[in-house]
Amino acid sequence: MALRRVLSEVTHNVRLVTSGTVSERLLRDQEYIEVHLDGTFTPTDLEEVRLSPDDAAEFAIAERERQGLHTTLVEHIWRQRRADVIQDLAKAKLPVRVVTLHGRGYQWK
Amino acid sequence: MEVNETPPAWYLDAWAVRDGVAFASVRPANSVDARNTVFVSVPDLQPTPVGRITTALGATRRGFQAGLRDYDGEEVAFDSLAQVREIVRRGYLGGGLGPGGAATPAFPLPPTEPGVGGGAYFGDAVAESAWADTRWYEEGDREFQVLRQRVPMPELTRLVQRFAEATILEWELALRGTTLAHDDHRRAQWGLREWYLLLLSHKIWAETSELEHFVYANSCSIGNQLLQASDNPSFRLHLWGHLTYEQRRFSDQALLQSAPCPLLSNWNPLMSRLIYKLLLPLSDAGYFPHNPEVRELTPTLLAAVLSASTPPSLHTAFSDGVSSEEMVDQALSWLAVQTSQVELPPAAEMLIHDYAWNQLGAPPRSVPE
Repeated sequence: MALRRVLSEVTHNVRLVTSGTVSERLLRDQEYIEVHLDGTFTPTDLEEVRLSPDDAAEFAIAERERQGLHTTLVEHIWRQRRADVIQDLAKAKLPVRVVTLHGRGYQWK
Repeated sequence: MEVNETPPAWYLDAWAVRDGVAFASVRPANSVDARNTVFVSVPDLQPTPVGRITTALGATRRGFQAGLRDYDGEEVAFDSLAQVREIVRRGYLGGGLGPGGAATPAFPLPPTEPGVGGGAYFGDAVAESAWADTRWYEEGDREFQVLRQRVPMPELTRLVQRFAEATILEWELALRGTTLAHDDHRRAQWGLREWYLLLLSHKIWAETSELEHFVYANSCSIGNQLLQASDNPSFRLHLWGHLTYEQRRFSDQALLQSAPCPLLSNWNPLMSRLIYKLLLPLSDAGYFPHNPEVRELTPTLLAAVLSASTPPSLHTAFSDGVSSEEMVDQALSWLAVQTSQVELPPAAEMLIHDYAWNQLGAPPRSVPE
């Protein structure tokens, strides 16, 4: 299923296909890929956590706050909850990376 | 058999209340024949079109609740997408309430008791103030105009200051007790130091001499430590300026989520954290109409002063920044924007009210079978 989703969008004239490209294609679209697991999973089962560029909204909120522009309570709580999760991931020694544009020079942040 | 199909309206298909995400469709009630399906998510709640309702139905197998029904089991219809966004927003805020809520404190503090400690201190302030019992709430007054007309801003600012001091007393008392485990005690101590600085940077005290007077009069040990340390000129620069985030353990929001809420003797003991006094009025539209006095608004206003964006300014240390009254005025404007501008259908209003109070620990509404 993952191959079908990624390959259908990678045309033959795209010379560079990076792991960032693959991540981005998998994260795009609201349709899910279901993975049926017997039981749950723990942080030790994960290699890393990848965030899509949409999540960069977090930085935009922080910047508005820094400049004294209006931010909402929903935005404050949303940011705090993400910060808590990222702190917990760091405690579990799990790398967190933001996937940005695919292609040369912009593969990963 | 004749089937009575309801006219199409917006209905929630799947909703993860505490995560602030939902799928909604234009369709008849109890039907999957959707004309349009969208996905909304905090923080911006911008609707994203979704190709098929099946995605929404699939989400109900991953922790989303299926639809929204009233106590009679009928699906709740919304007139507009704005109402859908509003209930998702208010559900997200309400989800932060209560001991198991999503607005988790950075460290636990013991629950506050009505009428003692900080509550008694604020009780004295209420008794001394000629404005604490003033009714400020008028239906339709979303901009707090009535409050601004009826209560002089310096008086309101004074009440906010006294309530802020009450939170400090409550916190200092919690640290004197023995209920906190070693690590939690240490974190709560760090938290209180930063709470003092957060209040200072938001001009809760117009003059630092007012803070000194409060600290000495009430034997606040952490406050004393801070004031003694401030004799050191380099520390003073940090203290009266604003400690940068890099030097702090907790964000403003984390402190707000951890701070205790002093309670007047007749206040509900369920409201033991300051953040509840902000989350509840913003998720339950019935809160202000039922609590229309200035004394009830004061904790909400303190939380709003700390939430309204104010860039830390070096110039505040030279008494050249925003005044305490301006801070409270800005907080009112901020609160007006956060307060619900969209009216929900009555059934949805009742459900969100019950949800918010159940989160706090109130018993569920008894529904006749």
